[in-house]
Amino acid sequence: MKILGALGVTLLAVTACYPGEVTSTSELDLTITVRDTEFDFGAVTTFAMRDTIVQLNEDASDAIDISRDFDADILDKVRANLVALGWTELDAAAIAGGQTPDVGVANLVTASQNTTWWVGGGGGWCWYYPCYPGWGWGWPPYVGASTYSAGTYFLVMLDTESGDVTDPDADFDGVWGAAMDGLLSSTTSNVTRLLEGIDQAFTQSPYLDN
Amino acid sequence: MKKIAIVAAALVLVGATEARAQEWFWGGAYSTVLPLSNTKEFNDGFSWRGVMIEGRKVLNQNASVGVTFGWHIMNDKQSGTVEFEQGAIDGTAFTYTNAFPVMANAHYYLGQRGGPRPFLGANVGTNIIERRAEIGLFALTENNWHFAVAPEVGIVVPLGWYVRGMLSARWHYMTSAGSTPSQQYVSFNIGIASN
Repeated sequence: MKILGALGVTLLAVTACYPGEVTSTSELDLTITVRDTEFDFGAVTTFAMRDTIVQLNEDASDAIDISRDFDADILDKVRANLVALGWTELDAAAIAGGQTPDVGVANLVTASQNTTWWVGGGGGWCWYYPCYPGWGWGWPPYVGASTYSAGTYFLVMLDTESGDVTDPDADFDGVWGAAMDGLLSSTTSNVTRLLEGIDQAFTQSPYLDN
Repeated sequence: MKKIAIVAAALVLVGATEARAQEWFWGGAYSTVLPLSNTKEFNDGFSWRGVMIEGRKVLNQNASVGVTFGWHIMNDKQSGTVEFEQGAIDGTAFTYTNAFPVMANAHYYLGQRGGPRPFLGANVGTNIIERRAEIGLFALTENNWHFAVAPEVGIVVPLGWYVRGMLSARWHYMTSAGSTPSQQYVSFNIGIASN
């Protein structure tokens, strides 16, 4: 039986490294797009977009104050993608002059600090999952907490024909939406990944360009 | 597939009724895994991680019955865009399959005692499968007990005093369970056994 014991230890040693682990923050990024399949994007020629990024959870207890230093870069990226579709932006003056854009585009963001509680073993030996804190075997067990910051940037496209554009309280139907979701790290990294995510949102929505 | 299961079960039962007071030998093996079919679709690629522990009770010169336990691990990482009618999702997906076979086995040996002995085997029982998919900050896990059969071919080679080397290939087939479809993989096992 000693032979079998030695074999077992050898086998565990050979197989105890862990595969498929997340190697960069960007691997946790998601770009999700949804659309109204009945809306005719081919008929869109004009759009309007406010030069403001609204933080939806600004007053929440877990909200993170986000940097506003790069708002212009982000809005420019969105605008460039819309213009690349062949659409023309109507500014406030044009709208005040009586023109109505075919769609309106809203830029929204959430950023929050999240806490996950866990009970783990002392071994910290990660057999097959990525080594999340506390994952492992051992004795005695212990309790801990992991905190992480996550954010989601939303692009929402609204059909201006579905509401009264002269009414500031009017509701409009959303016809396309994009969500760029991921872990927050340094501001530079966040912005770079977000700009890539915005490009990806338009790349994976070829129906906008009809 | 049902025929294989019935034959395997019959082998185990017949062996048990004919069992005489004979020796047990126990072995451990390192397993590598080749996913097939639905398993491959979820976790593509050869896996180098797995273990197996097995006990066999020798019934006569040519037959044994016993039990098998294992742990086979498959994982994959795929980046790309998945499209659906209303939109699309782009990201990196991490998928993991952990399979824990718990089966009864029966083996028939060719060749002569004291020399290398090729064998045919049948395993029947359950395979407890956990499938986990992670994308972005989200994860989905499902656990199911699958009815499992696993025909096997291999060879046992005497290495010296009470120790035998074993080499085998085993095709694992698991019926669907819960929302997990049928699963298939082949494990290649190399190990030693002793009594």
